[in-house]
Amino acid sequence: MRTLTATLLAAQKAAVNVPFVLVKAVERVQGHVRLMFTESFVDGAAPDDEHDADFSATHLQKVRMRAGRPQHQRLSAAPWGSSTWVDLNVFNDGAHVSVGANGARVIVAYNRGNNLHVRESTDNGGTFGSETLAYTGAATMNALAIAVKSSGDACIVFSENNVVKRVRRVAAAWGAALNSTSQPATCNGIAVVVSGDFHVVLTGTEPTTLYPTVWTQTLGDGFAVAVDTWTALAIYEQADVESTITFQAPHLTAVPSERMAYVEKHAGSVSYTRVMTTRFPPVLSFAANAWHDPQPVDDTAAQGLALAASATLAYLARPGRTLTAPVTPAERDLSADLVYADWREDGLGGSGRFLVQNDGGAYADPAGALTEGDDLEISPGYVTTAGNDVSAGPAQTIVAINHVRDGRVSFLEIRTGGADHWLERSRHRRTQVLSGKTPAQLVRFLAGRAGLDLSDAGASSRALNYSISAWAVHPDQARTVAVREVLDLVADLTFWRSGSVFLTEPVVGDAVDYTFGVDHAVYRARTVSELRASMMEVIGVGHVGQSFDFAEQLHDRPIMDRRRDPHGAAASDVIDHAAARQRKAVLGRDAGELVVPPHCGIEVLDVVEYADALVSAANLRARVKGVRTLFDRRPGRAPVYQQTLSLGGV
Amino acid sequence: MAGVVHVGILRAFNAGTFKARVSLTGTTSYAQSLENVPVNRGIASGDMVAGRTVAVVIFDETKADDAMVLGVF
Repeated sequence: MRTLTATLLAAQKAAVNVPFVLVKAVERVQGHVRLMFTESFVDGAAPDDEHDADFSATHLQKVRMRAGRPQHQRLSAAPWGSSTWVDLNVFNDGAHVSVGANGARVIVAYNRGNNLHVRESTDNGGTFGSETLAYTGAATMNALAIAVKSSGDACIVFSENNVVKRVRRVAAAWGAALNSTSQPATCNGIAVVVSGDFHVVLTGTEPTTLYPTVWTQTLGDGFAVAVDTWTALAIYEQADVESTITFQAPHLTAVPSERMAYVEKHAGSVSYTRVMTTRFPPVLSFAANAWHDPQPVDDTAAQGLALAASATLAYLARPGRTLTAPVTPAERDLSADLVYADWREDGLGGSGRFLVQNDGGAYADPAGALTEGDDLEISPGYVTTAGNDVSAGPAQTIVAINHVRDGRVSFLEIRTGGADHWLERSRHRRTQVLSGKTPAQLVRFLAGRAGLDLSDAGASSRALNYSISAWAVHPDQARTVAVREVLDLVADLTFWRSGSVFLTEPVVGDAVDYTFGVDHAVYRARTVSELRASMMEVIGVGHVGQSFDFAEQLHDRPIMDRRRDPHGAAASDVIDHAAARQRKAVLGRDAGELVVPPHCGIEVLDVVEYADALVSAANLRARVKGVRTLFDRRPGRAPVYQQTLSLGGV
Repeated sequence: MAGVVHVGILRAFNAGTFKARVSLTGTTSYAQSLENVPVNRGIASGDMVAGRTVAVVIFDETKADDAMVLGVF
């Protein structure tokens, strides 16, 4: 349950109160700022050279490798591109170049033959110091990337003859190289940013299978990973070795949240070269590997698009093109014109219908913050002595915007969906087998692919520790199906708070969150007692797991629940699975419903009690399975502000 | 759970274990194969030529090798 202010708590219990619902359309998609890129600069004659970009304190820094020579340009204003480049040396022995910026410091790293060199600026790229040798190599450089810390320390991650290494500058001195402890077979592209640790993206081929792959990896800098510790390569995208798909030209940025771009090439029929981008949930650690599904960009450059961002703009840039998007989401408050709202919440689902008065034509051309796919933030509340007081409720997705005209009356009708809206429309592009993952990791990965943040909030031991040897997902499965198949293994459920999904294990001993019927009125109550499945059997690989609720069975007519579990390789696996199904049967049963004046902080999975002396002398206890809130102040109708709580077992 | 029949491409076949590596069509240009899928023992080993089309029944879609190659054509 969300915590409420004392005034709001008192208002929702008052015999007479004035409803208020804050409804705001925000230019975000499930909490992520929606970046609407538009072309700012184009130079069709610019060659598709290897390149990079970053933003220093005041300038967009672009670099490219033109005919073996590193070149630089800096830009302080639109159109954020130029056909004029400044040579960084007079040789023609380079192949790879990268730029890192932090504050006014800009460092360009490039190879000259087998060696790595840098040039550094401390005035936003206005002037550069002389060339410095950072690493003396012995073999061909395949790729490189640099990240710069605010202290001026820097790290170059590079691939020398397909061996990934890093070399760090600490206190102005470049140290020795350190090989990665998790290597690809071949490496054709590297990107790195500093975000606590050094976050790395690699493209190349996988050892043994030679599958073309995009990986993420962390090089520790003492934040989440110890200094100079490499984490294992984590697969983001992978193609079959027989496929004609390859990946290359990765780029990465840490602001406004982590985003990745890379190029996917298909040499078969119909061939294509396509820049793909993806984003990472801002609330999760990089190790979660919870990237969104790749999204194509309208660009076919083989060297891809670099990512950068200032405080106001995000950039997709290459030598011949720059795209920009504002990073601050526009908002539009609809509360003053809201006359009807009806929204539902359950674990992953949600839906809503909202009517906004449009008699003055204020919503004749909904644009900017009122767009299908954006978030609609819904916050129930009351008018209190402190003013309009609300509790931040769900952020649902705008799935449709309709104008409804009836004579002289005009409404804007907004329909919304919950987390299931994105999960239902999200599918894997290919079959993928995920090895050695726990249910919590699988659900986080699948939700992340649909663009949803999913965190643990008291998840069960089985959800966090049961390692599944191989879990397959297929393109014909909607992610709602894939997620529910994973959740079916555990006693955990999900709830939704402000655009994030939380995985939690409701336990029998959970404390009562709120009591209705004493000082918070109950308009209507329906108390249900029904039989449920109580004899569980799970048939695994050579094992049968059982779980019984003898009290529920009444020793006469038990309802059986049997299923096969091909993942259940150990006796403990199937026993735990059966126990989880027993628990789910308790939680899933219908215990009735309550209709009450809206509780502004109630959430799915809260435990509530209510008094109904005609049913039981003691308070009745149940767990909230779903919440429906209705607000109606349309002219000519009786006003309504009420909430229906669907109840289940505790 | 009812089995679902898919069309796939045979990538490799091991006559010793009678198991195959199969890519399901619909994802063939961009697929991760299903490894160690048991093959119908009624199929002649000589017919299991990489690149041929196979019919694959998947019993539980969440487990890659909980499946069987029914036939090859």
